[in-house]
Amino acid sequence: MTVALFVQRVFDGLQAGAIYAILALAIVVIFRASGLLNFAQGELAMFTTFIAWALLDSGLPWWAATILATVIGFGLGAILYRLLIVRLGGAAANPLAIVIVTIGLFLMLNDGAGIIWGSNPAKVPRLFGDGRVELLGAGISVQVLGLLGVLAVLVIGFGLLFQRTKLGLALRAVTSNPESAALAGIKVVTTLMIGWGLAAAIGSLAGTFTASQNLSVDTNMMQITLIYAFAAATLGGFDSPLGAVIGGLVIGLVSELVVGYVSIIGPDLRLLPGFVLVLAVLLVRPQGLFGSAKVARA
Amino acid sequence: MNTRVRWALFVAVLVVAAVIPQIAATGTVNRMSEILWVAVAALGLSLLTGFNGQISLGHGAFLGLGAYTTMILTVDYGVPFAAAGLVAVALAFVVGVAVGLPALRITGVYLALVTLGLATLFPQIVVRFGTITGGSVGRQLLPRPGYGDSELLDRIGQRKFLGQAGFRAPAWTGLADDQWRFYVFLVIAVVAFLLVRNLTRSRVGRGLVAIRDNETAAEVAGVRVDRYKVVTFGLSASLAAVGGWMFAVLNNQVSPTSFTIALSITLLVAAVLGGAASIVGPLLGAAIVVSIREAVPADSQRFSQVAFGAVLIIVMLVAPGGVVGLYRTIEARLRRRGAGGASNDAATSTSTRPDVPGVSR
Repeated sequence: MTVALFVQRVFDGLQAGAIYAILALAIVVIFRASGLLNFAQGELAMFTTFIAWALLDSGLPWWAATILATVIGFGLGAILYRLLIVRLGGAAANPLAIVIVTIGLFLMLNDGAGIIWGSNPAKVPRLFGDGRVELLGAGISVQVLGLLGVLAVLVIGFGLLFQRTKLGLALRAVTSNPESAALAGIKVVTTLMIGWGLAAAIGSLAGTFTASQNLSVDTNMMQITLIYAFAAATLGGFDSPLGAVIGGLVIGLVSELVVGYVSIIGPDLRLLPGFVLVLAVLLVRPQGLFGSAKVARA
Repeated sequence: MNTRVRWALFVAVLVVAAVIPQIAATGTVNRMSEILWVAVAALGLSLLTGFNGQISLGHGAFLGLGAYTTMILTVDYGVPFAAAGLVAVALAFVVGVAVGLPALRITGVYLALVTLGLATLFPQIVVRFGTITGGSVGRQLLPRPGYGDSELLDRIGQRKFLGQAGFRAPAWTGLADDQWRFYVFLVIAVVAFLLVRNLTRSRVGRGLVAIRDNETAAEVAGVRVDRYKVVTFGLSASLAAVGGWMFAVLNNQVSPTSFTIALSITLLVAAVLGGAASIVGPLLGAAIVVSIREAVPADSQRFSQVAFGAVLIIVMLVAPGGVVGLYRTIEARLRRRGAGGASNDAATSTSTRPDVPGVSR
């Protein structure tokens, strides 16, 4: 158990955690805007990642492909909200309908991508190159540092968006009380479209980073990530962007360290530590570490 | 439909189902057997989700538990299929209750989320305990050297027997294996469906629906909410395990890839498409799902998956009650017209239908 190995594992954990954190951020944005959980968030990210890959393949530089795919993701999310989700009524109205409709989207996106782009994984380059930085005897890839940098920018950006801008205020108002928000002159549907669009755009980034992590893009790449992202959002609290990010990093770290040092769990049961953590949080502190508790009325 | 017509229809369907294996090819009989295992598992899901309002995206895991328990007990320990099935059902009930207990505090979408995690975790657990489960390769009806109680197997002559055995028709029936299997499945399915039907029409069943519609009101009315919810979870898991037993018996092999999220979603599609809060719904849904899969060529299965996704969305938006709900609506409309506008609403009240989106209380 050398220091170098430990440092290596910590950074591996942070790297995985940063991706969970980004997708968790997408989940939190939707939850804050509409009080819903989108089970198709991961597949939406996978879909836009395929679009990014297709653009890359057609000769665009990687940054242009990523940005363009993110913009397309925004549009896709907004359209999905406008065409489908808006018809389901409010958040508390019918959880079953929301779960089933987003699961339906999950199927359509997953197998739709398979039909369009084929089932075989396509190769993807590392976004931040293959460089490494020496730290306490371990080689930390530039990729990790780049990823953490992007995450930091996203957190600050979203913190500012929600707390300092008119759009953020509108998003919060719509979640807390759609009727009052509408009476106060906020365009509820448009605001929520923007919320869903933003979430899909962030998700698209998570997808691109996952692909550049695996060096390939395939249709099932986001399913496990989605579970981790839900775990991260649960841990941090579904209405807290900062919580989602910390939750993501914690889940990534805990998973990596437990898998690395607890031989009973091993790499096969990679998902178990996160699952146990989520179960514990939901039972003991359902609002998460940073979320705000809600009083439910029957 | 009045009760007499319903029973006549039930008997007619049963007779047709009993006759078909006598004239159809083996492939068709096995397809019908497949419909039955999907239907029984979807029935379990519909009891939990449709009637009791607890959303599970993890029933594939309970099905897998049943299938693996059956396979391991019969192959490694020479346990007869029937006894292995009973153990599988009991085990699934215990695990279902264990999952149902935290589900008392975790409700709605959060429960969907946790059960989704369970569905994802199951194949990983199977691979982790590969020495018993056969890991990612899975198990077949062949004893693996070095595993299980081989001494016992040799003593009872099971080891030799298992090699070409499986679930075979007893000689006295004069049936082929696939026919025998289907008839056994048919009996199991009929028993399961009648049990759930009677349960949902009893005092307990009304309690389940009351919990789904308004937990607080149910509690106030004297329904023991916690106990009902936990036991329903256990029963639902048991039904999924019965489906798992049928899966193992039909396919003679199990592997982790058979019990992924995809299976849990398939069960959800079958339950929702047929009508989640009805008894015949899961059977109709299973028949539709299996038939569509069968009709689509193997290399285009992705198209049927996309179609299922679209169907889920359309059903939720247009006819949340599924095929059965649609039928009830049409029947009610026809009857109202026939009765010259006399109100029959009480007879077709929405109490057994899932919530209609957009209608808030």
